[in-house]
Amino acid sequence: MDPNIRPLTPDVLKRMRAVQPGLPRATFEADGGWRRSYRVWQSVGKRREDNAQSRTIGSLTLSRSPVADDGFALRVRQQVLMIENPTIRYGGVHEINAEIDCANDALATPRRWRVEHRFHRHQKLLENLPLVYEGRADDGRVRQTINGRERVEPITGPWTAGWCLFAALPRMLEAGDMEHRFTQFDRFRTPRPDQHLFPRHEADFTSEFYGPMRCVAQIGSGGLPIDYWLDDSGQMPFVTNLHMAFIADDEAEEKIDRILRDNILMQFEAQEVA
Amino acid sequence: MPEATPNILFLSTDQHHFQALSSAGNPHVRTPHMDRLLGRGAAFSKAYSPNPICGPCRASWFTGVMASEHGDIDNRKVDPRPDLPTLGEWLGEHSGYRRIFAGKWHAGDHPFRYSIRGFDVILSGINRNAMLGDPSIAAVSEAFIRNQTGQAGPWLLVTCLQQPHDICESIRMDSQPMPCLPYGLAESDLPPLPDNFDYAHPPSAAIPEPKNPEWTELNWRYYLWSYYRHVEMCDAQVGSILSALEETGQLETTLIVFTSDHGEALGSRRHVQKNNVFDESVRVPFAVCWPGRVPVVDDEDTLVSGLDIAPTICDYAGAPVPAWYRGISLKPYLDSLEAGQPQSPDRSWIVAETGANTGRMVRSADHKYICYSDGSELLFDMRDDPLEMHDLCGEPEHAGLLNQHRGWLRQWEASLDRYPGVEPFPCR
Repeated sequence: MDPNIRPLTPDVLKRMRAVQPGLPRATFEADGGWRRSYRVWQSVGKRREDNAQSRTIGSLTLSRSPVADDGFALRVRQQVLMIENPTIRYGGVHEINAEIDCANDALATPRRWRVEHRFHRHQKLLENLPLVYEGRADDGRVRQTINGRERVEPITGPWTAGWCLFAALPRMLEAGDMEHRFTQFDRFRTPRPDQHLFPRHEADFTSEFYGPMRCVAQIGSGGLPIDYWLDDSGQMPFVTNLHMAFIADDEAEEKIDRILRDNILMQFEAQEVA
Repeated sequence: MPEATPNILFLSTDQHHFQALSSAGNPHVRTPHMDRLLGRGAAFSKAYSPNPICGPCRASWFTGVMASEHGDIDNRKVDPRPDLPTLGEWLGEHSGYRRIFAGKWHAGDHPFRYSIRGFDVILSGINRNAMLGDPSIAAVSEAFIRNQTGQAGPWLLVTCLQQPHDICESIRMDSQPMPCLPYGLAESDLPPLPDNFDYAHPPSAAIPEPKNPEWTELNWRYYLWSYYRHVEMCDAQVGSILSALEETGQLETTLIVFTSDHGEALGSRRHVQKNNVFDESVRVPFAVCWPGRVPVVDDEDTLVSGLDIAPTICDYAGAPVPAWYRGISLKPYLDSLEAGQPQSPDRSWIVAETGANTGRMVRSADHKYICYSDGSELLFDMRDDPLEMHDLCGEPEHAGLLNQHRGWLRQWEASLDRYPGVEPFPCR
């Protein structure tokens, strides 16, 4: 591999054999019901060492279901492999299951949610470490109970959660309204103010797999710039953030489940893309 | 639980420049949660890593001795000497504490592991991915804390976050210069370069040449901007852990020790990363907090070493402090402050090593002496020259000071119980 390539863009991901062939374009409606699964992939970009340690370290699956009251339900399942390297069979997993009731507004603002964290070690759930956030937003406040204890925080102005942006961006593209300033409430645990979402036209390109791709960037406090890459139907095959990427792969969740269930090594990395 | 036996949270960051905090007056980073922590206890601004590289420092934290003694001198995958009990093993033998570990270990082989002597590892981190690993490390720590109310016996929770170490991945990834003004950033958004950016220290085989000669000043300033975003990522995780203590009513019964394994050069001398004993690399944030038991104070005078963590934790836990520990317990000093009768620790200098046993630092109250294995030396007056730009070694009027620091280093080195195969350091 050319050591001078600059991670991470869709083009770089393709050269690193990390991308999948095209998404099912005809079936996607930003406002409809859809399910999208991503591999959580990281580049370990050692110069001149071929990025050999790059690997998948988890999965993120989001399911959108419209509901009657001008909103939609977003179900999230994220699994992160907490390990040193792909040759280790045993380790830990951080699993998050979330159900979020979102408004049909530009940022898919959360209205109610339940987020459950589960920690696994050597394939066994640590049952003595439950962690559940349940909350709702009203009157400029976020009210949550965390393992049964109440927390009330003020929140002013537009806001959303990181997962909700995966559902918001396709609708933004459709509406042609891609620039927003807001607070991001990461996993409903910590708010990050001063986020700015905007189209980054200079990065737009045409992919041989996905056709014309639009880049929408996010920059703000508490995080490095994120690029969201959308095709012309609003599907989002990639999200890139420094050395990490979410890469659409409808089998990602199943693959991670199988790795954990069967205790096999993580050998599904270097897939040839014709 | 008896009042005098607190729960203990040892919380660490990774590669955290000592001034990368809002509370240090830095306007380029926003760290409300770390500031909240530092503002609740004794914050020591003259605190130093015993070895400014991940593995050797961490092995020193948990064994209480220098890298040349425990053996992990250079991230070289050597586990600490098995005859040295870890802090977890020691407390297991000498106290009733449950010892829990979450995050990056790196005290020897395999930085991220599920088997650590003396600790119950509830979750490791992710190698080279703090961005994703830290929220999970913090979440499991939060889960542990939130599920402790009503549980028997005190606990020691070690939470080793990985940020802002991911800044290293930026460098590893980019064989081209860091971008200058991407994402609509204006030049005015980027932090300025440090005043010692263009200061070239005397050549020494023991420390690397300035990094990234192809970078422009704007490239460097974007690097600084990126680094501060990494610090902010870490700050959010500290916030969720602190909130768990507060919301479960455990803050008042928990002693918190907060520090980092080493600093970050942040462009000083055109360097990035660490592994030298200039302040940017070896000096670290450090605080001890226990509301009502440890006074709120900004301590700018007391010399503190990462070697002091294990004896301090033993002391607060009511366990004996092992005789072989090289650091001191800070508890007597903190107790004296709380009692309004300050008695400074009986120590006038501390020592740090560099990776691969190639260098030493002796930090005294006002001066810093640096010596490398190739024989080169530096001496700085840290009051007048905090950026370490004016070497006093060649100035005759400072010969006595130089000899005094050389003598302290010889005295220290003579007391070490070296790991087999680690050569004695060639003191002057």
